[in-house]
Amino acid sequence: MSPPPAATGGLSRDHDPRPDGGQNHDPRQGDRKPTVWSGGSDKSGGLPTGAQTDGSKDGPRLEDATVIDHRSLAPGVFRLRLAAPQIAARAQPGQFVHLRPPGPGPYPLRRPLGFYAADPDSGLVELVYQVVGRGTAALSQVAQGRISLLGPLGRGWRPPDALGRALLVGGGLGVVPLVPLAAQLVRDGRFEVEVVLGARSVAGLIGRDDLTALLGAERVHLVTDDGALGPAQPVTVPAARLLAAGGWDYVATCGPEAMQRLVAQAAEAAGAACEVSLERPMGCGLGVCLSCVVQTDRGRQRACVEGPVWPSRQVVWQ
Amino acid sequence: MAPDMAVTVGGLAMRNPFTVASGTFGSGREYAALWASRPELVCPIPGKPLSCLGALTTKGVSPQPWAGNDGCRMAETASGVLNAIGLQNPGVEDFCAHDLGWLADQGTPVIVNVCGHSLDQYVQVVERLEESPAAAYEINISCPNVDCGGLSFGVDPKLAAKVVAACRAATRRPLIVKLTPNVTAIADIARAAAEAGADALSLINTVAGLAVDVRRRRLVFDRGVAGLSGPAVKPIALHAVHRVHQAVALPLIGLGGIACLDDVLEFLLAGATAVGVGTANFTDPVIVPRLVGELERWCLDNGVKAVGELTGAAG
Ligand SMILES: Cc1cc2nc3c(=O)[nH]c(=O)nc-3n(C[C@H](O)[C@H](O)[C@H](O)COP(=O)(O)OP(=O)(O)OC[C@H]3O[C@@H](n4cnc5c(N)ncnc54)[C@H](O)[C@@H]3O)c2cc1C
Ligand SMILES: Cc1cc2nc3c(=O)[nH]c(=O)nc-3n(C[C@H](O)[C@H](O)[C@H](O)COP(=O)(O)O)c2cc1C
Ligand code: FES
Repeated sequence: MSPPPAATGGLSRDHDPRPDGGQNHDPRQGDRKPTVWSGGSDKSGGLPTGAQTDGSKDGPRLEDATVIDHRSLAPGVFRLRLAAPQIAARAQPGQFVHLRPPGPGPYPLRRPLGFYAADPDSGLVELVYQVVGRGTAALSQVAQGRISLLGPLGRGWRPPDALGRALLVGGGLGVVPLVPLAAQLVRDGRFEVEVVLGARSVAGLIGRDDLTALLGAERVHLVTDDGALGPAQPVTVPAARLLAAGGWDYVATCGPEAMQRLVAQAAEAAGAACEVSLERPMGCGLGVCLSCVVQTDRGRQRACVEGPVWPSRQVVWQ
Repeated sequence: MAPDMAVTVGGLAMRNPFTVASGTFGSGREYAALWASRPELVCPIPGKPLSCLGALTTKGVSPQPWAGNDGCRMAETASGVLNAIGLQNPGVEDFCAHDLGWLADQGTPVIVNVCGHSLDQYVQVVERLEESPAAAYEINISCPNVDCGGLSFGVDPKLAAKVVAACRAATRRPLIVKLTPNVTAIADIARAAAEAGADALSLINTVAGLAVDVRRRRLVFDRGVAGLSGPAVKPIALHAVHRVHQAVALPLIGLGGIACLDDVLEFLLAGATAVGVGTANFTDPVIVPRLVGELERWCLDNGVKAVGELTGAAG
């Protein structure tokens, strides 16, 4: 993914609750290039095949990443930009890192976070996360220093080879892995891309500015639960309407599982290939502990190796 | 002079006192790949990163494939981890076909962790492995995450003795019996296992625990109970190791919450001959090779000529 993810999302409006008010500015933030994923157009989605072999060229890396910039995008939502050249060089849209929460803890488990962007040239990766518990709360306090990342992990998006139209549907922070996917699809030039984003309120529409810069406002459909932008409705409603109109070849979705399931049903009914990205509590992140299993039509598979992205038809919804 | 780091655990010769805890390391491939990517890692056999282990303990292996538990399988606690994997594994045939051959060639002895729902099932697995390159067996009579078998054998000295005796009759390889802390008198179980022919004991398996999802007003894990591991259980594990060391003459593999060099030293001084690192692999996936180096350095700096001198030295 390239040029990093500079200055995404209306920096001037960002509030920054940290004591230093976000003094560790990234010199790049002036350039308002949209997030672009330059991680290669390789359809394999960056299979971490190395995790299954003892080859050391591919596969995940354990890297102490340096905090370059860390700021709040909305109440409780942060964007963390890190220098992690080994991981940036390998990341693919839809993959994730397993991040060790900083501070005394102890935090026996790492936290899985998807890539919002990664750029092999500058060696930067961007994560966007919401504070939901003690690990992300501790992370949000970090202004500088190093953070241990394990990644890239899992198998990312694998859009079909064909030409066509793609609809990406994100609920809340589920937008995160869709942003680099959109960038990749635009760069490959095979798909016309539209996005539907839903959140509780306008402030929660993370990624909207980057996606608008990338796709144009007319291709970014926004909806909120509070009705601030029109009818108050869940993201599944406009998504289903667009899908029912037909003409879609590929649908990718991420967000609450119930939402993804509804999007997948609508996509399948509309004859589009659909991929979903599922979350499970994770231990190792590497495929050994079997804590992250998802029921699929080929048995139990691991969200950290065979996932987190699956063709929706393979998922046996619980 | 370099200290002698080698230990022998019930006939199993280990290059150093370190193994990994069953179920936290798979069959080693993933960690081998990650370790291989670390330039600072120096291993005894070049190109074979797992050779820096004294021994590798595999995930639990049952006679047939086990699907494991439904629902949530892992949660974090204040300083530990609750798991309810339920011993999901593809069965001994698949293990022999896909993992064991590769593993046996990694320059470290392989301890196969054996689980079963019945006495016969334990024996079946051991018998199937007798022709294989497994170096030793660890009999898991202590898993809180399955309904029949597992823990029920580990809480009753008579049943424990039966399983151990049956496995003993099936093999002459080193037989390690893994004990649960979820008992009133762990020394009684240890004695029963020793009398039935165990060569060594490993302890502890996870501590029975529970978590409640307040928002949904239900238990987090489908079976209710889950197994606690990580730093939270270390004092329980140390106590168990110390008690059992006093009670039986068998060598012990101590495990439960090891996360740093001091933890390792505590286990050795409390009576362990070797140690296992489990949950800490998730926190820091290169911790084991680092601890191997740190322990050797510590022995050198503290005039310890052979690491075995430490075992039980705390009294
Ligand atoms: C593949 C993947 C990618 C993700 N990407 C993002 C992202 O880009 N941005 C983002 O904000 N969130 C993302 N999440 C969710 C994120 O991992 C959790 O919000 C985070 O782990 C919560 O940690 P905590 O310590 O704040 O919460 P706590 O509730 O204190 O965490 C306790 C334990 O539960 C786990 N946990 C809690 N919620 C989740 C969850 N939803 N999924 C998995 N484990 C969870 C934690 O990792 C931790 O082990 C992703 C999850 C997965 C599986
Ligand atoms: C995810 C997970 C899976 C485990 N699977 C097994 C297993 O298959 N067999 C077994 O004997 N113990 C199993 N255990 C228990 C560990 O081997 C170990 O006894 C316990 O976790 C305590 O060590 P620790 O605190 O270092 O993790 C498992 C533990 C965890 C966390
Ligand atoms: S997190 Fe351990 S197998 Fe997926």
